[in-house]
Amino acid sequence: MQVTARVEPVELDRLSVEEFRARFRAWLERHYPPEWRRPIVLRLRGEQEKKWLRLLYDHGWRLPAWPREHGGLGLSLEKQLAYHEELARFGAARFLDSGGTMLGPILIRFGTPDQQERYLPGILRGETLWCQGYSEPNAGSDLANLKTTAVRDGDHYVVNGSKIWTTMAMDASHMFLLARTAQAPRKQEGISFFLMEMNSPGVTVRPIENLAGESEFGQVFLDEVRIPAENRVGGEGEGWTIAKALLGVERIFIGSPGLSRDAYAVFREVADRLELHGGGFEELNARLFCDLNDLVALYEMISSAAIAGTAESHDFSLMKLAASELFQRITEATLRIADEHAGVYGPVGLGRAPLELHKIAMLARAATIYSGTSEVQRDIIARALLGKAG
Amino acid sequence: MWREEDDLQSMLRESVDRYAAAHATLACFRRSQKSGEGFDPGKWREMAALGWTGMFLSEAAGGTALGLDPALALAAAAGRHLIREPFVASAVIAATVLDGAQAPAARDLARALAAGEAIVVLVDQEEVGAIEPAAPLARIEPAGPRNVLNGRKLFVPAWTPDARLLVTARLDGAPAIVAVGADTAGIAAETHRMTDGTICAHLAFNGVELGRDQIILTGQEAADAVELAIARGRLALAAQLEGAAHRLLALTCDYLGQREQFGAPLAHFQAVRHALVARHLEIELAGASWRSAAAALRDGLSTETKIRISAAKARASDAALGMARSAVHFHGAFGFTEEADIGLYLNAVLRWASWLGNPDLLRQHALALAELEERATCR
Repeated sequence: MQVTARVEPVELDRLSVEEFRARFRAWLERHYPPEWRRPIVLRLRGEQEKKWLRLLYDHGWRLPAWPREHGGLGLSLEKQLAYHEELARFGAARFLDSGGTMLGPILIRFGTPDQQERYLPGILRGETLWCQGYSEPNAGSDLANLKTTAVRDGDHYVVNGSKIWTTMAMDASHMFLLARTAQAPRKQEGISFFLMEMNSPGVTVRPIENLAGESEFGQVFLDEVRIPAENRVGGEGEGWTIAKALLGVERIFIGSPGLSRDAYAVFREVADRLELHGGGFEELNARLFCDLNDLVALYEMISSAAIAGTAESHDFSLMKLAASELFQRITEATLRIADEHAGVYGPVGLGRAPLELHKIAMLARAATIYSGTSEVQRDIIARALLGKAG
Repeated sequence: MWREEDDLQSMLRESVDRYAAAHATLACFRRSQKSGEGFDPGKWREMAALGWTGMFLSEAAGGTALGLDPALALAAAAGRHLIREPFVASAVIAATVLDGAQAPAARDLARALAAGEAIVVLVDQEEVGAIEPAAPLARIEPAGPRNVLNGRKLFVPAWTPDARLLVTARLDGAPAIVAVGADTAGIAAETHRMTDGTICAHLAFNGVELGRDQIILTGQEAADAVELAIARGRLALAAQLEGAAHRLLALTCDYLGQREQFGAPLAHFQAVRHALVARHLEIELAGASWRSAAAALRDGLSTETKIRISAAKARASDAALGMARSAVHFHGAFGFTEEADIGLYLNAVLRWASWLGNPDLLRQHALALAELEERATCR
């Protein structure tokens, strides 16, 4: 692999946001594998994801948000936003990178120097892939209700229970998870945060096929799994606080209008191929066009507030709610205008390159469920408007 | 809070708040709606003294030349307090036309507007549901030694019998704008009381005699001035609608926190909470949309700017109408009474939402402009 083009982070500091944008875009044009340029439908996983993370690392584009002393780019939020926006505009495939976006910031903030030294380099170089072990069969939106237990036994914790809807469970080498170390009066207490190798004895993964026909997530059974005590992050009972600490400004990326923008491009493509115009179609099209215009405007406003440090937590909830629901609405409208093609399983030709209408529509169904359902987001926003509910 | 405000904007907001408190603007609104009396010239002069009527007028004309952002902050505050004096119609739209004209007649009118001595309005619309200013059918024609104006105009806003009119008309096949007094012979007005307590007039011009000096703009300059005036007007209405919607949201939240049923404040019920979040989201989108359009307008009235302005006015209209309907609903039977202030807001936003393009038309306008632009860049 060619390493000569590596950018030094300090060099990026000298660029204006626009120059930075142009530089990253030029790099994508030159180095991004063309076969991955499939927005919405493709999410890199396993070896593909590792290859992509490594490519970013080798060229000095890995982890815009991590501080430099830990090997990240340490970019301003403004440049981080530009970075993500360029990826989306370029049409790059999605990638989860739980290690880089979720665990890394937690270890940097709450991990011991030893934990940082052991895990951060592998994440940086794309050598280890992490999955997030939070949800359980009876703890989804009500995450604090989790029942997986971790009982101290000498230098280890013995973990029993099950995690579910674990994205990339089959591809991950490691999992970060929440487990109960004590029964406490408040369910948020007594939860601790652990790091676990997926090949530990007692770990079984059952893939679950999703509506889009992919086995991206699964259920993970934990049966007498021994986790070394040094793999606990933070103190006993601090797990909830640690997991929640990450739900700050980084939540803005979940509310990005990228998926809606890509979905609208597909809507327009279908309309062009079917030569739709006038009447009801025009009205629908005009509405979606303006919805997207306004969503982008709100994202820009909240992003600049986040850069200025004035955005509030419920602003990010609002953005996630708005972005996920518009993404769905656009995919629904696409099926509506597609007539019989809406019932086609698999890619639809319509005389030109295939469009994956069915897959996009199915993938969109998840958007109002993951990262806090629409109802949970509405509860958060309502608290800001009306105070607590009773 | 993502909405930002600079010192000037917050100063203006506070000044509007003080004005509204001193003049009991909601009570005035209610009274005028019943009496159909239109607005009060005394108050217009007071607003002028506060600098509000001259924000788009040069200092030479006695204006403050504060420009777009302060004017939009003021419009939002006016919406919050239902100030029905013709800020948008006169201080934004007509002032924009006057500011683009060099003719002495225009300068005199600008001075009178800045001083609050005149209500000046643009008289442009000839068809209902017009979005882009069309080539006017009204004509300036020679009649003996003088010119005369003939034509019909619809929904002329902020009508008073002594208003100063800036009428668009064709002169030698090109657009022109003439300044005439509403009391000039040959002008017949059919007036309509609007839901925001103002009066609109349909006007017929029959052989209205004009002096040469009354023609204040001609040709492309006239067309450009009208286009910019309408664009600013739409944006100011969007801000005003957001202001009203915001106030309605606050009033409704307060009420839901106080009113108890089934042993708990209504604000505790999830069905109510989530319905209110939907309204809140629309208002936030409206607020972001017009601010983004305003930012674009600072760089000029490009097609992209027009797209954003139309989208913003459409969103603000729907957000305000939706919020107003929900506000009435969430106030229960009390919301259905004349006594409740929210009904005043519902009435006001009905007018503002339908003026200068209803939401459906504006959305289609935005899309049509975008498609034109796309085709232009593909070529």
